[in-house]
Amino acid sequence: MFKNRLSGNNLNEQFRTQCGDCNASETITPLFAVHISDIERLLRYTNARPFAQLIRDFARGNADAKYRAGAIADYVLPLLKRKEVKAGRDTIGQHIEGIFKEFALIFKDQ
Amino acid sequence: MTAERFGVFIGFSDVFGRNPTSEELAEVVTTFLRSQLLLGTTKVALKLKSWFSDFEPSTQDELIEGLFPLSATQVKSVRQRYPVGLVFSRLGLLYFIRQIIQFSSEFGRDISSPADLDRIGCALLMCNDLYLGYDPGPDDDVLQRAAGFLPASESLPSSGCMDEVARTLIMIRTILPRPEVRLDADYLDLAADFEGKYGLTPTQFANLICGLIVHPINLADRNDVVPNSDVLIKPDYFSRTHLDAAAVEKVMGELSSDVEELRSEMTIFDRSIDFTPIQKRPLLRMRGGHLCLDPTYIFEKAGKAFFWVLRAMYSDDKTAERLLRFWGKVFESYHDWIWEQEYQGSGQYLPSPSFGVNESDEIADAALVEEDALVLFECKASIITSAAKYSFNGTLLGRDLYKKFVQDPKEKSRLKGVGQLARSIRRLCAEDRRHVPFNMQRIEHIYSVLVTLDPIVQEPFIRQ
Repeated sequence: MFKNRLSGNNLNEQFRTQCGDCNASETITPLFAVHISDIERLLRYTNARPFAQLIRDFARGNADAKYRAGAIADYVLPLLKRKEVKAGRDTIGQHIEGIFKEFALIFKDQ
Repeated sequence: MTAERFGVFIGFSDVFGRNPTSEELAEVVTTFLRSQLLLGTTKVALKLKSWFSDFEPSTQDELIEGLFPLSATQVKSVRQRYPVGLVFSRLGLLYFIRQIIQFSSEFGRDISSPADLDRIGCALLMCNDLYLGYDPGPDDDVLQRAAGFLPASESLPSSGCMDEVARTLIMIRTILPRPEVRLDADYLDLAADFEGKYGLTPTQFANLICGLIVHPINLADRNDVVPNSDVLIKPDYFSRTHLDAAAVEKVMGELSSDVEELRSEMTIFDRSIDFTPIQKRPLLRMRGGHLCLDPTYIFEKAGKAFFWVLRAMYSDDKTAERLLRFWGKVFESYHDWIWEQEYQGSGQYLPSPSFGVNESDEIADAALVEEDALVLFECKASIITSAAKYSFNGTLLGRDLYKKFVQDPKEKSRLKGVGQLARSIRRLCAEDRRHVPFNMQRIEHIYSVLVTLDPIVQEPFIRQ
């Protein structure tokens, strides 16, 4: 039983085929295929909302959009901004700052 | 939002009312001197800031004025119909560079008159018609649509290049020393192997790549017309740095090729929209220095293409296969690490949860229990082949997606990613619930997440 199915027949179709018609009481949502950068960005908002909700909204954004689907900036963040939620830790952003500092050090006159 | 994101490419057919042929385009390219065409195209890329993902209408208009001394009025009238119309794009420039490499020569003539410039502008318009190898049809399924749009959408500039560099360096510097990675059966000392091969640490390599990227960024910010000699990266470009000169030369050699080498690679990757040869070696060796054919491809060398830099270190197939498996382990460990660093919720994140009886009987690469929700993660570092990406063929693309993310038909007993998630959910729903490391009685929602390192899942239609 797959409630709240999203449309499509790529990886999700394979997921449904492989999983079969699980006769269980749980609600099993469709597969979310995401890039690691999506996880990195969604995690920053787990100070405000449960991850499961974030990824569900993110997937809904994907289902609505036909082209550049799933841009967090277009779907998840506006929802959060309306609630005046600020992003939490930005590990990748901190590392980028570190890379720039290291880069500056390669010059002899620094 | 979607149409604006995707943009509308304005082609020769939109302006002049007829479809151009590839022979017409080749004729323009063979007329003029190769070096002038390449330097001119690079200057257009600089003006456009082709590595930048934001669309800048005023830059399009300025370039139309400059490159269409005779046809600017016609081109502008079409562009006015499309607020997000692109005459000049990174994709069009890459396609044009491919034509220049394949067909131009050192014996062409100078670009010397407004009519010459207009012919080149029109050739760029032709590229916009010719590179699109796919017309969507009403009967196309999702896979065919994905395959049809993929070559174009993948070439659109991404704003996440620097994130990719940061992630790569974390994987090398922070993840490789983690105990679960060092104890992996396929462990390779990638950092040491890298330094042995290139004479630079991965961090120094990333610094070198940043240095190369600074070159076009600085040129693009200059207000004056950039002289040809300044477009080239001179041999002494890194002389004011602490980077070892011999190592820099070696890496520059790995990142570059001459015209003949590039042309010969293009006969192997012969699909017109397959830019793999330029992607592999984005610098062109010319008299007086290196020409950066595409800044984004350079940047990616320290980011999403870094795996291929590692891959080039190992010539034997056995070690290459081991690297592929090991990189998967590194990626999985990175996923655990980023959760350790950034998760601020009240749930419980469990790396490698097992069904309980046997530790190797893994439910998924990771699980998150958040109140009544269970999220299962499978991490896959597999990369879709360029043959599948640039085929415009939904069946081929689907076959490779299935092989990399569901099940390799050659390994029928071993499920991957999607297949693993489905099997585990089936088991969780039907059996084996007593020994799992969370209380299944409380779970009301199960979410399954395939996490990939290949950004292909961000392309249109692939996620569906």
